[in-house]
Amino acid sequence: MGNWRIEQCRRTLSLRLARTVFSVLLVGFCGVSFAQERATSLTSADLDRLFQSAAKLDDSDLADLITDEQFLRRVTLDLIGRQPTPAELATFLLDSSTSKRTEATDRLLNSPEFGSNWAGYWSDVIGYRVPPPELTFLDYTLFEQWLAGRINQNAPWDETVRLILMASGKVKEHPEATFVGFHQADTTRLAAETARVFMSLQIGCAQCHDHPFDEWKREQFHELAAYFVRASAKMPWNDSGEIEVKDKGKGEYVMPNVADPTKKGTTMIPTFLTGSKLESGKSDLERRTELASVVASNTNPWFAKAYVNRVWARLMGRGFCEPVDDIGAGNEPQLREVQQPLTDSFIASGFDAKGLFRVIVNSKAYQQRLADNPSTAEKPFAAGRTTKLRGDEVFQSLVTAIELPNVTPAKIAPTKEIRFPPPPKSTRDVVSEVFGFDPSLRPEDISRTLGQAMLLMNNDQLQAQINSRPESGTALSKLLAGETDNSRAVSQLFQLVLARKPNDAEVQLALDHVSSLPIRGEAFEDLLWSLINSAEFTTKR
Amino acid sequence: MQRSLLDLTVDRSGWTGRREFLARLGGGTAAGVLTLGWRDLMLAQADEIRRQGKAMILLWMDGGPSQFDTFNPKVGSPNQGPARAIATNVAGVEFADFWPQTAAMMDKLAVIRSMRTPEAEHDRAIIHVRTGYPPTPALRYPTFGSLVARDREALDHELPAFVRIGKPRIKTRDVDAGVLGVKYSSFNVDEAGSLPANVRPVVSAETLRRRLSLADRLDSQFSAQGGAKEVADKKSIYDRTARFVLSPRLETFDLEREPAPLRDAYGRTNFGQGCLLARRLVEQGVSFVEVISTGDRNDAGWDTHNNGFRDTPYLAAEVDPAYSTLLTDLADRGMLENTLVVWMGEFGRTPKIKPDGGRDHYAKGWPVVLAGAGVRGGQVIGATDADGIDVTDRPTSVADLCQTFCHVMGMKPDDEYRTTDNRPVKLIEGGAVIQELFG
Repeated sequence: MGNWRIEQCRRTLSLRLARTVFSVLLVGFCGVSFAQERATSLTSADLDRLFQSAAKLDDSDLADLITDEQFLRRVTLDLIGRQPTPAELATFLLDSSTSKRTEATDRLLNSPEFGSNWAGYWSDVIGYRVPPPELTFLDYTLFEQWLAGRINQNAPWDETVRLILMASGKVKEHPEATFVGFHQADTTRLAAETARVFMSLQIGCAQCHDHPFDEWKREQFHELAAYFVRASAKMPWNDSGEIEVKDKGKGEYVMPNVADPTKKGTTMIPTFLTGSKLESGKSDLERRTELASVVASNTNPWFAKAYVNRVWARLMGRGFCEPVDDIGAGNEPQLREVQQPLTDSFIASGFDAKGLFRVIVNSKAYQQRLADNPSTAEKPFAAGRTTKLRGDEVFQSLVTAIELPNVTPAKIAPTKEIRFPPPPKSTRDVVSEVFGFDPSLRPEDISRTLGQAMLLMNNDQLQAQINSRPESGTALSKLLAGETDNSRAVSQLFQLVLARKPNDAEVQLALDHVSSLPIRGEAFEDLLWSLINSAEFTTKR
Repeated sequence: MQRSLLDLTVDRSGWTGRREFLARLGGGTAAGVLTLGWRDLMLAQADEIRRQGKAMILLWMDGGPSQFDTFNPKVGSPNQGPARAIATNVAGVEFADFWPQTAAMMDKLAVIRSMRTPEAEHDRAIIHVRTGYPPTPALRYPTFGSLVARDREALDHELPAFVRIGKPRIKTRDVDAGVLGVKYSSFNVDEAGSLPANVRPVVSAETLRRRLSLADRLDSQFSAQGGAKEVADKKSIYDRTARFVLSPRLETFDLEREPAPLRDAYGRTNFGQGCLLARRLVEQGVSFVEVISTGDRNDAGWDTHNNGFRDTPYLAAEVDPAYSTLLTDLADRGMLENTLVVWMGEFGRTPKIKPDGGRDHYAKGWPVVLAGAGVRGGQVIGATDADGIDVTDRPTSVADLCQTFCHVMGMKPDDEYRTTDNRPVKLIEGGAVIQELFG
């Protein structure tokens, strides 16, 4: 304990020092990479010490953690976007190793599903704010595949973002061009979205006036837009893979004159928010390469912090800053004493994303139980938090639980009259759309909907899987055929759908239901339906 | 007993608005009502109560119809094109000849010919006209139907308060509940006559109820283990959904229950059957129904840049019988006096005719037609000049129109809602009720 206090003082001091160095850097006097100066790699134990102190928790608050069963569902959902299968759960529970949680984490981080899940997250972060063009359906599949590959290789986050900001060419050949291409190379939208997505800065209002809370001036917005002024994106009809990002070859950015829009505006030189400038006359590639290097940089005070804030928010159920896309000066973070060292550690690691996930999920902070008593006003960080599953996660969980098939109807060919038929929606598209939400929203702004309830209640594809008849070949029919003991069948069904064993009350509830109906299969269909339609199924707990 | 209670609390001359309604309950009548267990009674009778209030049907001409080819023909002007003018059943008022059946209803219509609005691009104009506010990237204002849904929210009900029939021509130009959130979104019926996917339970009502009750009991376990908030959220939406999908009022969506001649009179088009469904929904207490006309022929809808002289007659031929039959049908059932029917698009079209008969976007003098809910029929409000180029009398704004909608629906324009970042926003700002409509 004593050591820890000394350690903490040293850390605080070095942080203060670092902040001073940092301000100096910001003004541009110093070229030395400050991350290298104090490369600290945070461990999960370090994180817990910082967390306990910042959240004013007693040792006892971090003593009672989630069970193995609860841990496996939570971490599997968070890392690979689905619940564990009964086999995965059984293996994990049987494992007697004391380090099995960290081993499971590593296994999940190495699964290709990890990349797909988080590529889906980022695709949503970008896609929910891209206004769809009128004549082309924007298909994010190629981008998600590309990003999943990068994430699975654990490519450094800064490098990935640089590729996204610099990309040129057709989306189908260079999926990283999706961000610029799908925004149709629109200068002001790209300025606002580059700041929001990759730095969690809200500078959009500064397009028209100086920002009311943060320090942004209107000029700064337009100076940022100037990096994109020579990019163009040709919109083809119907196929978004054909969108091509290329250099216009000429032009400088002009900020409109607000006082009198009929008068000539001001030509803006590309200048980053930290003051770093580029000369005029540069090509599109030069501009965006420069932008990429100043955005995705260890000296950019917002870049790493924005990423860490988003990952922390998704894993912990609440960001240091909420909404997660606003970490500007006007939005005071919670647990700042955790946020800064975690961010520093992420920078020091060379933007090692898997490393960041590992540190968080192996911490006690991550493995806190939910509060039995919802009143946590005294100690808001003393318990874990529930989060709603993302659309993709709901779909994957349905696949895991009831083998929901993914069916895509045939494509409709364009005709002279109907020139832009909507592309067919697969089961996955339907579920992801209905349960989907913009991941940048505050958790309290994400509502359950009538459409979600109706889908789980009545959707015919889904209901076809809730069939106990042997000839149906469903997961339920196989389970019932293989297990004649009702109490064991109930337990298996809980493991299949909720990835946990039922408690005694639940077993009793289920058995009472089974005995209340003349037909065993029907009773189990009810039970399966009720588990799929339970609040728990679509919640990370 | 229940009836008299309702009569006590609902102003027979029209809907009093949610807040006023609740305020009244909290006032003089409350004590008496409370002893009767008023809330249960209110919930059970919610649709009944709504049915006595005012409703609105918006006939949305997606793409922006031409004023020359609808309700403001300019005979003798080079801008008129091939559409001729025909007399209506009100002396001195003429329509384009694609609208014979609607012309016979002019005594029920008030035609505003002087809408003058600032936006002439679809996306911006749609936002402005449908929300009452000029487009801004800072705030996603809710569409008027969502404001109505919010106004009627205190009363639980089986059917959604805001239903939309037909699909907008271009989804990306659409407006929805915006900052009010999905709770006040429209319930969408893409095609009248068939229920949207997932509404109709695939099992019997008895089985579904049994399952819902089992799920409730399972949820209470999670609720006790840290899931209280999630379970409460879920319960509120499931209660609403179950009331809807198990409601006998789902029959409302089934048009087979209507006599074939009436269905024929509306026209066997998506829009025609949509208007019939709108009447059935309002009859069952739905407060705001929107029926979208995009034309069954192509995906250009009323946006007739090209071949306008070819396409407009087809579009009008779908809307004319549907619109006029809707008015007759509502009047026959005594519903027109409580139902505001509005015909409009996002703007009009240019006086100048393109070589192939198309017209581009034009916002400086376009028509909106209102009927019902106290609107005095047989009148024309405002005018444009002889060539239909600009407004010469009573320029009317979007805010004026929205103030008028609020007035009819018993909503206070100054009433404020809060955005998620806690900013107060008035239902409507500026403008004034178009008083002539009710004179």
